[in-house]
Amino acid sequence: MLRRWLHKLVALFRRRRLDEELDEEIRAHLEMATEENLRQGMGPREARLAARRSFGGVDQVKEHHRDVRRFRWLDDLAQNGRLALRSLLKDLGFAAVVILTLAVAIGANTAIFSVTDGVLRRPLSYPDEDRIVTVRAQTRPETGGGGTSFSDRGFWHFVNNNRSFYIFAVYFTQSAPFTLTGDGDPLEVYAAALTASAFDLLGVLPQRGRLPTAEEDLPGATQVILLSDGLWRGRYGSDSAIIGRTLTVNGLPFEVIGVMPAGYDFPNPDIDVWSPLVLDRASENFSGHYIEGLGKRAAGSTVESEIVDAEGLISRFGEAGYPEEWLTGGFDGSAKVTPLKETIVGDSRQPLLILLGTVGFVLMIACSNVANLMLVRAEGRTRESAVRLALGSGRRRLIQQQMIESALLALIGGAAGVLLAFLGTRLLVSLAPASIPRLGEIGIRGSTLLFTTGLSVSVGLLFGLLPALRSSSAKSLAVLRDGGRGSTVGRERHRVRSALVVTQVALALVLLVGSGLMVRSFQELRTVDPGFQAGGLLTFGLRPLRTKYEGVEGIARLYDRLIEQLETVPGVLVAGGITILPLTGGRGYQTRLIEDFPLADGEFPPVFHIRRATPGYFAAMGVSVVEGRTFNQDDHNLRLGSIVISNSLKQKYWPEVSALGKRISGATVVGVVGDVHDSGLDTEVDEFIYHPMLDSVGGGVVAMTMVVRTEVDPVSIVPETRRLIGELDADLPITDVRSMSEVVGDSLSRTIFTMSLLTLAAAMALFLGSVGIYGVISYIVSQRTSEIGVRLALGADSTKVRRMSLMQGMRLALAGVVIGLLAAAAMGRLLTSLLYGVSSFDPVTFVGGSLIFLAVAAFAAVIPALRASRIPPAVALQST
Amino acid sequence: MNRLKNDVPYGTLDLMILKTLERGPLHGFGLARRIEQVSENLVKLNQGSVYPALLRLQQHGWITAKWGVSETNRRAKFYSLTRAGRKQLRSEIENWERTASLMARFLATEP
Repeated sequence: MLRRWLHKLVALFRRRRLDEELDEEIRAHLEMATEENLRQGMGPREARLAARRSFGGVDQVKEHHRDVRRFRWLDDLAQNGRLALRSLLKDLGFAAVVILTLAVAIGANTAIFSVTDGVLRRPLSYPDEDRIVTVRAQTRPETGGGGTSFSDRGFWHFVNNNRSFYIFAVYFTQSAPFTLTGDGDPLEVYAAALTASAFDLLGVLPQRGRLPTAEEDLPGATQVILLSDGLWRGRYGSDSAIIGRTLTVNGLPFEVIGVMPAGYDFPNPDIDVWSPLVLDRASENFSGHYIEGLGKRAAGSTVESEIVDAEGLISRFGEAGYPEEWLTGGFDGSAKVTPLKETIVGDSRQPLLILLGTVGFVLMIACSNVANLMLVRAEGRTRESAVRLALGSGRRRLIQQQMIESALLALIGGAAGVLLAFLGTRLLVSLAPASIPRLGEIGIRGSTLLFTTGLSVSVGLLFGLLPALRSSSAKSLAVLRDGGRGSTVGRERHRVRSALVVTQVALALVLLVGSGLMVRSFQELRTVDPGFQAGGLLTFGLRPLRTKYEGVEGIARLYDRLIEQLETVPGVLVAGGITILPLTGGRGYQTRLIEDFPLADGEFPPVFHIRRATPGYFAAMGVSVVEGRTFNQDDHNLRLGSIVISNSLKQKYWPEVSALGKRISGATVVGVVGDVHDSGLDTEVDEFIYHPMLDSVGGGVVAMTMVVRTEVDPVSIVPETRRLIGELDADLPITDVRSMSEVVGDSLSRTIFTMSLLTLAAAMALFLGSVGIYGVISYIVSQRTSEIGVRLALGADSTKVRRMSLMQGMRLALAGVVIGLLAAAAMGRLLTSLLYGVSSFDPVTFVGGSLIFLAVAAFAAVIPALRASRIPPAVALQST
Repeated sequence: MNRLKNDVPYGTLDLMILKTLERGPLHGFGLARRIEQVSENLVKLNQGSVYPALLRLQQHGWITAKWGVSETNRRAKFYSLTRAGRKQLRSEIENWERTASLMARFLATEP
């Protein structure tokens, strides 16, 4: 069989030659036969005829020969394909719309699905990861409610007494980066400290070297570190002798004992250095909660048993030596046990799910559009099919031809969709805010593409097949009889189509409302006064090495000198520094005691946001001064113990009187400044206490973010700034150079991203929805052309005709809008957390969206109506 | 008994062609005439129908074709058996004879 197949394959390429050869053979045959007949005594003419007769039909032989020669099905397919192509080209508009719709459905859906999928569903890279959880002790809502981490004593208590955790460990992410010096420019790296048991728990071995041992967790052990793959490759050139090398971290020597594998990103992808977490068993620390709990479930225990266990342990923290106030005032007795994955991706889940829903909608709209279009086409060919059937064309052949048409459309649309998917994913990833975790790991997965392509293409094929089957059934012959009007098949199909359009409109409206809400929300956000002047402000971070300067005084002097120098740069107005820049997500809060308001029994001390600032900071940021003054040189040089508080703090405690002179935890208020949005433009302002660089109790500052107000474009002074800093201290890394406007923009990036996507989806939905309406009305009009013709001929007003068509379209649109509004109201809750200053039932958006849609629908319905009313009555009457 | 011209099933025609070519290469016309002669004109096939059959046999690799010159100095395509073709012929003959004897025995039995 293979031999035959090969022969046929070869024959494909030698078609013409083989035809010629056969011709020659047949000619020779006939001539020889004629000759023989002549020899037998027939006349020339008779001889020829006889030869022909005994040969049989020449054309038949040739066709038969060709049949043997080729792949029959291939030729049939090619022929049908050519026919299909030709008929599609005739209806190019239809074909283009279907292909475009399919491409968008597949492309957009796959791209967004891939992004969502990549972040949410890809498993983390730890063995048995579904048994790993983070554990926090639940705190009372007044103190923040997010659950708190453990203290040393708490940890030991847990380790010694737990039952459901097979391993319980802790880790700690250094909030401030380490500075690596030597081997190049000073570099800031983020570090995490893990107990040896934490490394064991995660179960990932380094690609080189080893994990820390339990001994290295003890105080006094040699300082060791592990590097990330990225750091090892980038800074140390994949040096194979890296193990055992000593690096200088924060001025201190650390020995490299291992390199973690690529992609290891515990507890977050920014971490480049891991070190053992040193915990003293004899530690008295039970109040400083800073270490995160990590547990691995013993096989057989469940999340519930873990929670019970953890809660039991926490409630017995008293045994660990916790004072009563902490137990009753701080913890509420329950434990927060969360699977590891949620801790890492938790934040982004909701907006991404919204996006997923959005895209699902668009897919549904697109598919129903494709379905509709297919049905229209089939409708238009009912008569043609009926005629062909009556003329004897095989039913199967007819179906086959229509199927091939649908298949062709589906294939081209599918190919376009796949292309769009790749481009779209690339585009989305480049536009996404960096805050979305694990962005770099995202690519299109085969299964995703297969799913969306399969779905869309199936819809196309299905809606190509159904009408094909219907139209070739016996019923369709009836179509011929009553001239194409009012057939039951047609009416049923019309109902289906109307239902599809109404659904489209509803879905599109939901998207429109959603995106409208986001747009309004964004606008509201942009009008929020952040409390400072963002324009013309350069920011960058500095972290001087503590060991290089004599304590915090030396560092303060460094900053003083730096600011002095900066202010001499042409274009610079004023410069200052702050420990944590607003809107950068930094957190720094501590408890304080306000002298005027002593604590009652069992009351928990209030928590404030604490910052340290240089004298020029407030002026540079453009923060208003409400009362008193801001810092001067003396405040830090003489350690006067002055503080500046934010207005909200003053209003809370001293609404009627001046806050100047008030004492808070041993410091004196010298000024009140305006509130600043620190955690986000969309959150409440917090209560701030600003300290100078050095205060009266010996505390000081190390890392700061500098803010420089300029007359010129902030970025233009960057080179000069770098030079100045290099002169002052060559080992000082400069990080995060951004203008303040960029910082503000970045803080809004997630909102912008969500909003842009929703708007895009809404626009697509709007377009598709109106195409749907246009299609339905066109169809209705075309069906009624003869009726319209009669009416016009009988003197009906053409405006009346137009209105009739318009009304039909509007009725559909209205139905869709009503359903859509109800759906939007129901789903509005999903968006609530992303909205700012706008309720999820915002009437302006709802009404506005409906009006926009009705207007678009009216427009889409009017066009075919206009065309209908312009048809000369004679033509209309004819087209039966 | 004159059978209808289209009555010869492919299988049979193939076998006839193979057998006829056993004696030596022939061109299409010659082959068709020989078949008619051997069957003593009891089989009147459309002579043209040998050509598709010949192509099929070529596809199977049982015959090969070569352009040559006929007795009347005309250019014609000559077909000859291949070794595989001879093997095929032998096995087909065996099959026929087995079938024929089976049928003969069957038909000879008294009801």
